[in-house]
Amino acid sequence: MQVNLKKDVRKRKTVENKARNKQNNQFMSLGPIKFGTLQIRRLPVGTLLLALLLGAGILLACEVASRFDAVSAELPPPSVGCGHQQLDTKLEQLELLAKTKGRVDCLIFGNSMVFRDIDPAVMVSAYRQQTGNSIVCYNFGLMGLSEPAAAPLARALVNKYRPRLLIFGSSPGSMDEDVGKFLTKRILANPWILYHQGEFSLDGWLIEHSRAYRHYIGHRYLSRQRSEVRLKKIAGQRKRIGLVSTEFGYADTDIIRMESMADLEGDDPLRDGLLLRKLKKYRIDAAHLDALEQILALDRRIPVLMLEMPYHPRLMEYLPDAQPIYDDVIGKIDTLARRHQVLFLRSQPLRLVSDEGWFDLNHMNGTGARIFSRWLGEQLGQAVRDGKLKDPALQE
Amino acid sequence: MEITSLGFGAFVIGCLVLYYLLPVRGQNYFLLLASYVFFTACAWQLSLILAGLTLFNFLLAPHVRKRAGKVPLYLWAGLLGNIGVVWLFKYFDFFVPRLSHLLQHWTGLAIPELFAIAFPVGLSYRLLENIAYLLDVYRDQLKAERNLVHFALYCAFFPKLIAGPIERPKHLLERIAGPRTVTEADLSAGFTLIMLGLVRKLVIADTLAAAIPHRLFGQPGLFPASQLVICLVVYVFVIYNDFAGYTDIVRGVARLFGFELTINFNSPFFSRTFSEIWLRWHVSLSYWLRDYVFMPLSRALLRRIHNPRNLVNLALPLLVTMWVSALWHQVSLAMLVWGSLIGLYMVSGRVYGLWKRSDPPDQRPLWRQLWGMLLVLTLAGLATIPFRMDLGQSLAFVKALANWKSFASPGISAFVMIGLSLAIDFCQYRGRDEVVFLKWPRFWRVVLLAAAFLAVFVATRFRPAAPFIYQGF
Repeated sequence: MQVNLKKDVRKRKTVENKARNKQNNQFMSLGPIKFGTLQIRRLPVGTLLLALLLGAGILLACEVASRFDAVSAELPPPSVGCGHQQLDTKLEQLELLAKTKGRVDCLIFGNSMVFRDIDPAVMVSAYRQQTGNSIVCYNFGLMGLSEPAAAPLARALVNKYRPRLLIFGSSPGSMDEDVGKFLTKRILANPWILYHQGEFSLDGWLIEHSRAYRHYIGHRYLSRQRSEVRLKKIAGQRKRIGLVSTEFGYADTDIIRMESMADLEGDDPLRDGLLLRKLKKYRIDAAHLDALEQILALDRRIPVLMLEMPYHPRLMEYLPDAQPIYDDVIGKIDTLARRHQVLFLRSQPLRLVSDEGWFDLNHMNGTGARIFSRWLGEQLGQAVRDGKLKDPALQE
Repeated sequence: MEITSLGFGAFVIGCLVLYYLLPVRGQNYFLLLASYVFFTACAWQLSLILAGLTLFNFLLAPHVRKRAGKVPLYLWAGLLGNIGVVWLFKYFDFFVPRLSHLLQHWTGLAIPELFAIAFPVGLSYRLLENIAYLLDVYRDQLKAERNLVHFALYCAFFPKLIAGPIERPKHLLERIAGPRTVTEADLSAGFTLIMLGLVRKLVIADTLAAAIPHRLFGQPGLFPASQLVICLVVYVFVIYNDFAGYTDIVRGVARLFGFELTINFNSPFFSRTFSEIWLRWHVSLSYWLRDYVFMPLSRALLRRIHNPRNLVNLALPLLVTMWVSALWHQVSLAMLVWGSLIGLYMVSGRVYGLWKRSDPPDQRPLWRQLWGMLLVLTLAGLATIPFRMDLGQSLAFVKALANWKSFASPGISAFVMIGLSLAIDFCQYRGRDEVVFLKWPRFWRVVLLAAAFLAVFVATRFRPAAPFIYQGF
């Protein structure tokens, strides 16, 4: 008896399910259509539309969730997909700075020399003393950045943040054809950079507008790393490789080990071999000069200041043959700057920083960076007062 | 034009709209035109070669019918002509630089750029279909096609030309000549197959391929054995999902046009014996080899040696069939080793079956079925070594398998993808239906489809689709 009852219930359920399925199948369907080969009563698009709606809903929910700081902090760091952690970190910082201060007046561009040698806080303070005006300045110096990568990146950031001054720090070292190949390749092909230069792509649009998507790219990047790089270790790893910077993008000298030149002068003063090896087989690259010209051409839109990033004064003692090469490159930069009517600040001949202010042959330590940044702020203020540059604080 | 690209999607949608609007009489003409447009977009040289081969076989076929007491000259001419053309183009990049060098050395002339083309995709698959057509006509199993448009469409039907499935002439020619209807069921099944194919190729195969280190097959000595073994298994799943994904997409597209193409994969990793995997992996090639190589050879041998249990009768047809299969893939020693290995597996299975009668796989206890699946997967993985690498690299790989000092494996995503691949197979295997998902309740169908959309969308970001592996054969 009980078995029969169960069977009846099951039968009724089956009939109900069939009726519901029939109803469901009629939902959102078009028809009937009979046309030659195509002979359908209804176009079965209901499931498809519902799936698309569900998919869009899930994406939207992810986007909303990723915009909450509590959720965002638990996710892999957002990325624009260049495979350069420091670039991603700096973009995040710049975004935050623009949001909190309401504007970014000045962007400082260049390689690790810029990153390690210019403290925007000190520079702005010196500038304020000269002009009485305060500006918001961010150091976008990136390790391994060369001119061909800097040009599209600078264009993208100028388009996005519309700063009122662009300072580009360059040195003969970054003009070498071997410098920054990896990052250049990634930056030139990056959809977000291309998007900001007018080349639309779905990826570029998503990176620009979707926080969840940036987190996803960050996850993809991390998942490709070796297994020892786990999410929990990221903070520690960043500290180890010196990616952490102040809120204005300057290398955090509390974390980067302080050294003086005296440490470098052990048995072999040339043990800071990387730079010296590079300089020994140095060849200036035409592509780098072209890219530099593109950066200078930005002067048509915003004022550009060209800055010579200094090496340790004793570098030329180690490499006496390098002086003519150095002068040749600086001469070329000077010519380009003149052609574009861009102010070019020379710093190497001034010997601004003494031995104690250097971390190695091409990077300053905190002491040196303070001296150099103060000098830069004063020069900037002087240029504004002399009318050579418009005041970034006052421009419309 | 990659078949996973948006361009191909737009091309198919455009063709479908026009195809449905056209009167039935004009549809074959339209499909033929669309197919040639597609090939010209891929490589214009392919259109010329294809047109030439089509005319050659169309004109030859009426003369190849078997006549008692006469040497089948036309048949041989047809077979050699087809094989010759494919062989020439398949090894074009090997011959042309050498010929060009010699020509320049002797006469100062260079081979024109026109001929410097890569191997036209799909020609190997066309070869097998042409041979099948000529042999079927010769054996009187099929009448030579009199309608050039029908025959040309059989040769050029665009969804299947790049890498099959290898269609039986009779089956496809009948579909081309006969009336076709596309119903709701065809649209649903076609779309499901396309989505399934996209998930297999773009989500599973490409993610798995990215999990294998670049230098793993080139310099296996740099990696611990654990990683080599796991990556070998991963690679087996890459090949499977890559090819099965391609097949699902083209079968889905063909279904939207009202053509049901031959099934090519049938949950191969649920095979419990090696003879079973033969009927589940690249099925259209397996059946072609069975009907046009294995069976004729077995019959010929049986006529000479009447004992079916004789080792020659047991082993030779299988080995020769596998060698033909290997040489069809590529003329190389490594491929011959691959063919020999697969052949030996199958001969061993046959010999074991004769020595010890066992139940059909379905009726065996579960643990034996699982053991059989594991064994087949392991042996297939081993055979993949010479399939993927040349002989020198294969030996280096085998040597490197002795290095068990440390442990390393691909990331978790590889295992998730293998799980997903097996889960799809399991649903199809259990439901005995490749579009079993259509029978699911509507709620789960919506969830599944949404998940598939998201997975394809997410997987294709920042990673261009890799070319299909079987496109190269």
